[in-house]
Amino acid sequence: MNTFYTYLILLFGSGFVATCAAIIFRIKSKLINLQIIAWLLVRFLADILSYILKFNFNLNVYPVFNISVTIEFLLIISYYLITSHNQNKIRVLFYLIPIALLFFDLIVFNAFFTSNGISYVFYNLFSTILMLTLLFKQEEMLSFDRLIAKSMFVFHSISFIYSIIEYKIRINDQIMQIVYPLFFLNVIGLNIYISFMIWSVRKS
Amino acid sequence: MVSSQELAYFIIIGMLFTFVLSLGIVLLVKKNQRIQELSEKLIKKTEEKKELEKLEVAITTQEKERSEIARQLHDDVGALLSLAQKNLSNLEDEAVSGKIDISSISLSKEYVSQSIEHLRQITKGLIPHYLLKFGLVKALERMAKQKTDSLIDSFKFDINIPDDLVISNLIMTHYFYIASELITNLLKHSYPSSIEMILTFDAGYLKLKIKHNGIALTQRDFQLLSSDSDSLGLENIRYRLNVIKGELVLKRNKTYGTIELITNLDKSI
Repeated sequence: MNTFYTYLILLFGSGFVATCAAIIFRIKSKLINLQIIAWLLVRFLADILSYILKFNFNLNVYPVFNISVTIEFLLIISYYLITSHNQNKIRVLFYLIPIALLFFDLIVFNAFFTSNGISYVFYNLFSTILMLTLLFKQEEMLSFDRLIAKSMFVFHSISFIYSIIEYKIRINDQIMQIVYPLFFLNVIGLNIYISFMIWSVRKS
Repeated sequence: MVSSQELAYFIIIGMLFTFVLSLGIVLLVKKNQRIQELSEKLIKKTEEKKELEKLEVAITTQEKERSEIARQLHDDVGALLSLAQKNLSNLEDEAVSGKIDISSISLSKEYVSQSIEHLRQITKGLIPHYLLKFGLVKALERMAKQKTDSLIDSFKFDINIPDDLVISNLIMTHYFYIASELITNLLKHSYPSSIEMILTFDAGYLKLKIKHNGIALTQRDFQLLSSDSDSLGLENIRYRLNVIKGELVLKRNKTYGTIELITNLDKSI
């Protein structure tokens, strides 16, 4: 039980700190993009909502994650397009990818109430590629955005490996017990890194 | 068939490998960025150096030309005109005895004298005779007084340097021309009504402080102006400062501004 509470405290605590730090930083400085704040907020709210739905109402939490992944994907695309100063007219087509994947998961796999494997894998894959592209366009970016892109790249590349066999992890407790702590460390690591980055930039 | 535990370890190894790989890419990108920054810096520095070299060649050539013209004017034209003046004087003497028309000769003599005088003026303008003959202090005072005369209400020059201070001609010339350009720019752009110059020497540093009540620039303003402007005057100042390893310090206070021209005489050449 203690482990569970520690898990909850670490997950919600680090998410809360990172989100609050980003919001407060945005009020004082425009260095941080709204998309990143929204991305952190969506993740934090999705975690909270799933906890409430699961432990207070004993409801299925997959719909929350399926929608949250789609929103996160849209936000990452938006962040990429803004940061890379992409003026291409077909850039709006990028936004269709997450929506198409969501519908694909819903229609083909009927996955609204189960794990949205395809969306999650593609979300991590595309995010990794987009962040890597951003890293190679560094001269057009602010130094703060470079740090964000680097952390997002590392986070999504690790999550990508996890997402490939997430469907197996979720149904196998033994694998879950071994693999999930590492993935959890990845999530916590990102939250702590973003909080620390904001704190050090604000300080300097 | 792979067991669950084995699969879990495979995934963990995969995730760790991805972590190391992505971290490597990040570091590589960072290093690449650093290399790019350094190469840009190097290119900029090389361009600046080239520009300075070009300017150095231009100024050296200009000064050589000036010296040559001055030498020719003085040795050749000046000497010839002096002889002509002497001949005319002789003729004038002879004319007294009634041999030649005296009025035309006197007029010629007057013209020649004026030519010699004009030539002297030109020669003086081409090389800083006054500076080399009377030294930096007198030259600065004369230059500033000539420039500010009738343009401002008050001018003051305080000197606090040892009498036996020896400054090389090269440093003196560059120092003088920088000060001259600064005064010209000050009068042209700052509209002061009062200027105070203080020349001091302390611990090897020769410092000329120009205090004025006109529109004053800060160090930042001056740096921005220097980087944006393609004015020859500012480029000359930059080049000359580089030669004497000097620096300009600009400050703005509520009621006045100061420009300090500082050079370390021990290190300047």
